[in-house]
Formats: sequence, structure tokens, C-alpha cells
Amino acid sequence: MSGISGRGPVVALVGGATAGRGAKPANRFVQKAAPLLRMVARRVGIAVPLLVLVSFSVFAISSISTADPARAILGEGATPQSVAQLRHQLGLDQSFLHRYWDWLSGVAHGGLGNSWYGNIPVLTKISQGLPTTISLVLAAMILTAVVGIPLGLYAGMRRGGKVDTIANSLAAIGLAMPEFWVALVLILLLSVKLRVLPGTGALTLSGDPWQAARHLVIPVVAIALPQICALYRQTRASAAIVAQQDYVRTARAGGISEWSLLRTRVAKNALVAPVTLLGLQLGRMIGIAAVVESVYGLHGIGSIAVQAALTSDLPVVLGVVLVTAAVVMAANLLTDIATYYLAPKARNS
Amino acid sequence: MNRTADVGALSIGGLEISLVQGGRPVPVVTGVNLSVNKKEVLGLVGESGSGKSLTSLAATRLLDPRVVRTTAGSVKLFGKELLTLPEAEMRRVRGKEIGIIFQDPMTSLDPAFTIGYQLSCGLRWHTDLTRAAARNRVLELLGLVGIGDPRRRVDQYPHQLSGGTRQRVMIAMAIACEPKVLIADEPTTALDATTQAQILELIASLATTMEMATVITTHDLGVVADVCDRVAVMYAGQIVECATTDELFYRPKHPYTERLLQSLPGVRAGRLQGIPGQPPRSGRFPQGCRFAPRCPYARPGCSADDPELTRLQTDHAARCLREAELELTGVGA
Repeated sequence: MSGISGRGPVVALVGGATAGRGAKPANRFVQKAAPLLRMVARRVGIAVPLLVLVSFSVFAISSISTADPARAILGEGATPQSVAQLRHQLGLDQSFLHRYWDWLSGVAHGGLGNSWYGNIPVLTKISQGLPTTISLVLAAMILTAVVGIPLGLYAGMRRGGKVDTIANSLAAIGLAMPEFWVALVLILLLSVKLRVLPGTGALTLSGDPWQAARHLVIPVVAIALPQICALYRQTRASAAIVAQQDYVRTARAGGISEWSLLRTRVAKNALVAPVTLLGLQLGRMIGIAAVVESVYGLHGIGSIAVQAALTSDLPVVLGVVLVTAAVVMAANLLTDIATYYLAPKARNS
Repeated sequence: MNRTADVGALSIGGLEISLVQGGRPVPVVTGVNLSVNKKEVLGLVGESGSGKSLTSLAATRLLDPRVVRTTAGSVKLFGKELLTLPEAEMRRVRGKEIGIIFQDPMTSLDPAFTIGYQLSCGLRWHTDLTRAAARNRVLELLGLVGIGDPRRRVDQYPHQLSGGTRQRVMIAMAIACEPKVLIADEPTTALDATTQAQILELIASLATTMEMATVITTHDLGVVADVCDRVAVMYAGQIVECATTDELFYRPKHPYTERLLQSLPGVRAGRLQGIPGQPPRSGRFPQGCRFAPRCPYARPGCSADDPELTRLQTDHAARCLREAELELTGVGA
């Protein structure tokens, strides 16, 4: 499960840093990092039951649905006998708990089952869509952070300044525009009218990377725009509060330049809230990616999930939900690690 | 009014500070003249809102220009005018030539950085010390301000230290680059009584050994009696009396100073005497003498004429129209 694989790199990273030093400093390092390691271990421990709970909920919701997957697969003209036969094949005639248990033990053995359409393993299907979604969401995340955070820090430190005034107005406009509308406007403007970027089309990462990147621009901007505005406002608010703190005045009294102050003191103190928001935005972006992928004809796990949900392909829906939940949990963990670093005062609680 | 006129380490002349309210500056500190010499500790005394902190911070130009602005006067550091200095040069003065200790050590240290980082920050900014050399200097400074076990403390965060230790860190930060002038804005107000005495002693001894010119603002005359060589008393944005500490305590020449001394616990037997009435609100000063409405010796003329800060002896000046006729009681009288 992806939730557990998140533990590997973190422990390896910490272990590597420890091994890199001599025996004595290593002990000190482990001692200093102990609360962090405890937190990571605790969070990973919670992740497993949480993922089980998520999958159970999806399973339960799908079983309430009145649509019969077997009939959906075979089509309207199918005979009752063939429907019954397929129901038996798919295990739909078993009790709900029995089916869930079967699926769960499958997961425990490392498989997510097969799609009910074409018998393709769910893992294969997901791994086909994953690269597209990852590049989409990752690019949107980076764009959001790179634009939203520095702009917010600067505007917050110089409240009422030119940058602040302009950015506030733009952020208000940006937040007022729904993503799908932004996407349509961007397509109309950039690809239909100006013909500078491709509007829709399948993205193949194996092909020309330049072409792949060009295909990503409009969807990434459509996903990122409202998030940039939200992150900017959060960062600006935090930075404005930090800029008024006594300790910023103390740093000024020491002769530090405004730029250095912004880059070190204000940034570290003001970033706790924005980083937390960014972690939450990841989950939201994955959700929006599903819509955007469908609109742009991109083959990501978002469009796979939409397709699977429309055709009652339960194993695929479950697989996508599980992977997404694991990614969101990993993001939350990263957020907490970042907070641990940024706010020493909160470490011991 | 100072012994060596105009050659003080820090001299403030004709200083006017205004609050910016709706775009119109309202003066809250007016006509402040002060001078501090090397190795001298000057106490700037007054109640909340008298303008003492504004005066001391104006010298460093750390006031937020959107709220408070220096509207007239001059601040000279060894003859160099600071108020018109370009910001980049002013940054070389802050921390390097003028060290500042702030009131509240709980909020004046950055919670996100170790005290070692915060101390070395100014050092590395103003000197070309390497990281390792700066760390050694930081350990030395922590020892100098009386913090035990510097090697452990240096990597701790402010929330892991007590209030007194934090104020010691603030002091270490202020003196890190061996400044010539030290400004301490209510350095003991946020501390408990026993810690107050230790911190004052520390500031006074550092002022002597490092030959700094020191300004301490406080509302506590006890602080003044303990460590100051000279005192300037502020009331409603003006200096009302300025003298050596002994002169001021034994032979006050301004009714406000007298009332302040009378309200000290232990000075007179019986009930403590307060000063009736309230100080005027900032910027809404009464006509004539600003203390007249609360002054037991006030005559009708007091509210008509604006008294000047008049030099009475070489080292004593007061702002009172009736100074010559009044017999005021000091401490021990």
C-alpha cells in the first residue's frame, strides 16, 4: 500500500543523516530528532487503519447504490441468465461483508483486483494514469507555492504598498472565478484565438517532453489559479501579523536589512499556516484534476476514476480512492514535518 | 544642561515626535534636549504615555513611519546626524554603534530560531567573523551576561528559557558588537522584582566596563536611584526636570518630580500619596504649563505662559514658572 511506502524514504533520509556523522554527534542527532521520529511512526501507524476505514466507506456507499454493475456491463439487452451468471462471477451474489473481506485480503497480498471491464489489473490501470496526474498536480503545486508564498510574504510585510494593493485585487478576482470557467476562457484565449498552446488532447509523457509540457500549461494554470489566490491571501495575512511582532523589531534593531529579514525571520515564522494550507490544497487539487482531466481529454487517474464511477467499476474506484487517500495522508505527514521544523515551540506537544 | 555641551556620545536636540492621525501629524513629544556621555547612565523617567520610549526609539529610527514620525530636531551620534542618514547607513549604526534592549523579553526574541542563531545574526552582519568564530563569540557573550552553561543554552529556543535569562540574552544581543551607545527601553518592567535588580546591576556594570553611553527609560524611580548618574523626568511629551541623580532626589525643582518622589513607597511614613488627576492624553496638551491642572502649587499664571526648561545650576534644569519661589521637598527631607 502506498500509505506505508511513505515511511521508507523518511526513515532512510533521517538514518542517512545520522550515519553521516560520527558516533557521538549521531547520538545527539537521534536524541534531537526523537520527537520527530515518534511523530512519524505514530502517523504511519494511524495511516493503515485509516485507509481500511476509507475503503470500507467507499465499499459501503457503492453497495447502497441501486444500479446493478452486472447489468451495466452487459448492457440493456442482456438476458437475466447472463446477468445472474456475471453477478456470480463478480461475487455480487455474496454478502457485503464477505465481498469486502475478499477485497481486503486481496489488498493485503499486494493486489487491488481486476477491473470489471476487460479484466485489466487495477494497478496497471492506475499506473497508466498516474504519471499524467502526478505531473499535473505537482506542477500546479509548485506553481502555487512559487507564486503565492513569495508574493504573500512581500505584500504582508509591506501592507498598503503597491504590490499589496495590486495583488489583493487580483486575488479577489481569481478567487471569484470557478476553475471550469477559467479553463474554458484559457482554451478560448490561448488555443482557439491565439493558437499558442494546444487546447485539448491526449498527453503522452513518453513522447516529446516539450510537447507534453505545452499540453500541461492550460490545465495546470486552471488548477493552480484559485489555489494561488487562496495561498497568497493566507501567506499575506500571516506575514502581516509576523511583521508587527516585537522580535522583528529586535532583528531590525540589530541592523538586518529588510530583505534578509523577510527571507529568514519573517519567512520561517509566517510559513506555518501557508504550508498547512498547501498540504490541504493537494487533496483539493487532486479532486479538481479529475474534472480538468476529463475536460482536456487527459488520461490521468482523475479521468479513470470518473469513468469507473460512471460505469460502476468498483475495483477501479476503490483502487483510485485508496491511492489518493494514501497520497493525501503522505502530504499531511509532510506538512507536519514542515511544521515541526518551522515552529520549535510546538514540538513537544 | 550637560557637562560637556554637544560633544556627548548621543545628543538629542529639539526633538519633536508626532502621531500620524488621518494624515495630520499631532505632536506628542516636543522640544526634547538630551545628551549622554561615555560611561554615563542616563535615566529617562516618566509615566506611560509621557513619550520616554518614543524619545529613546526615535534615536534608532525604529518607529513605524505610518504611525509615528519624527517631525523636528536632531539626533547626533558623536556629532554625526542620524535623522537624515540614508537607511543603508543607518543599518550600519543599528546593532553596531547603538545597541538596544527592549522591554518584553517574552516577545522580543524570535520563537522560531535558537538564541545562538539570533545572537550570531547581528555579529555576522556587522563583522566578518566566520561561523565558528561567531559561535565562540556568542558563547563568550552568554558567559559575559551571566548565563550559566552557555554551551547548552546556545542551541535552545527562547521558550525554553526563563524571563530573566531571556532578558540576559537580549542584553547579550545588544552588546554583541560592542556598541558605543546602549538604549534600554524599560528593561526590567516585564521581570519580577528579584530578577529586576540583577538585570539592572548587569546593565550598569556593562555600561562601565564597556565604556558605553547608556539611556535607560523607566517609570520606576527605584531603578533610577540604583543605577543612573543623571535623570531626565518627562511629563506629557516634555522634559520637565533634568539633574544628577542626587540633585534630583534631594533637591527637586519641579512640582511633578516632587510629587513623584512623595509617591515612592518608604519615602514618607503613612499612606502613600498619589498625584491626583490624570496626565493629559497624547497630543491634547493644556495651555501653558502642562502639569498645571494637577499641580498643588499652580497659580492662574501657570496656565497662561509656557515655561521654558531653565538651567538653574550647571547640572540642574527645570521647567517651572514658580521654580524660584517654591521650596520643594526631596527624599529624606
